Amino acid sequence: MQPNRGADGGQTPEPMMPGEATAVREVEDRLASLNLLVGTISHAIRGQLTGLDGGIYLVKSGAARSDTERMTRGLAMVERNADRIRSTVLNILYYAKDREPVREPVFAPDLVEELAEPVRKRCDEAGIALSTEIASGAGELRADPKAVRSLVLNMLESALEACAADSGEGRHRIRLSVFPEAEQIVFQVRDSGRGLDPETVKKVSSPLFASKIEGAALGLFISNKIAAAHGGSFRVDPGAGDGNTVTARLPKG
Amino acid sequence: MAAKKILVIEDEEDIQSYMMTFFEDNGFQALGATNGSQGFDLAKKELPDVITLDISMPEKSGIKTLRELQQDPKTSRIPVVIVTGVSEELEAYIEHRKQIRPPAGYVFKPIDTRELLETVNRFAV
Repeated sequence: MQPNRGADGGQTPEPMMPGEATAVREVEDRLASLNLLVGTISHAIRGQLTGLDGGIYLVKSGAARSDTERMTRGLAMVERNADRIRSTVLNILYYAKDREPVREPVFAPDLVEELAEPVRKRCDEAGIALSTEIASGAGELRADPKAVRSLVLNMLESALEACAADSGEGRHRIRLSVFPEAEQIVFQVRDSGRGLDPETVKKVSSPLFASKIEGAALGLFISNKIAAAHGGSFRVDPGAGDGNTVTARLPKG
Repeated sequence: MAAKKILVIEDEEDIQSYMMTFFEDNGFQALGATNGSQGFDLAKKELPDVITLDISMPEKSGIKTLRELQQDPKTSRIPVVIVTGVSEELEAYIEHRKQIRPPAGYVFKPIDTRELLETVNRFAV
């Protein structure tokens, strides 16, 4: 079919077929979203690399001065920022793939204990009390194990960040619980840190997110996607009770 | 000779700790603030010789803080070096803002410490 030609001989676009306009809009939205994502990720990674450099600097200068305290501080900084970079990269990879979950049996209590361990170390260093609550009946679900690990880890990262951002007195607390609810398994993280601002909460469920969403908020965005991909739901309640409550509900089967 | 005083305004704890330790190792007396409001108040109180300023901070952005520092007679002469992970396009953005003078300098994260030290030493005179 020849392109339409206007009175001036120039080409005018072909009218779109039904459904094409929606598809084009979806691609445009996706590209815009990816552009924003690249900008956001760039900012997050630059900060995390700086933190990593900082840790390395403290370790090296601490060794030069035989200052064990400085070296210990530096090593903790390296570990923290390496973890953050790992989370960011895994989140990008998950977002970029947008794949269907590859489901296998996942025993929720084991997953919770496995994830709590490395986070407990960071909590101890930051003076945060971490507790886990595993309700009876919180058993097996069919889910993508790597994706569910990311989902819960992102929730814990958000809690850690909220506690670090809160300059209030007293020891902060994070509680990771898992319990059954009808035909679902519920993973919930409650923290006593700074409440997430309403803008961030909105962005967590928005397909197009503004350039400021990064770090733990980006992680929550990914967690929301993972929950949705599993046919579940994801909810962020800032200031519900004490700090924030983040809840992921995943179907058992 | 008394050490030059530098104020590091940076909300990321690890980065602030890194920068303050680095500056102290290089002969500065380092002060820290974790947000723009705290930074502005500390700048007025301590009158540092130079300020490093992050841009992406909660509650009050670095751009707003820069404007406040420039508008207050007590702090308007203190050189401010922006240290940020926001893209290099920030420089063009600031150049176009009529209410803000360009800062004394820019250092982009991840930080090249040699560049950072050269930049602050140039202005902390």
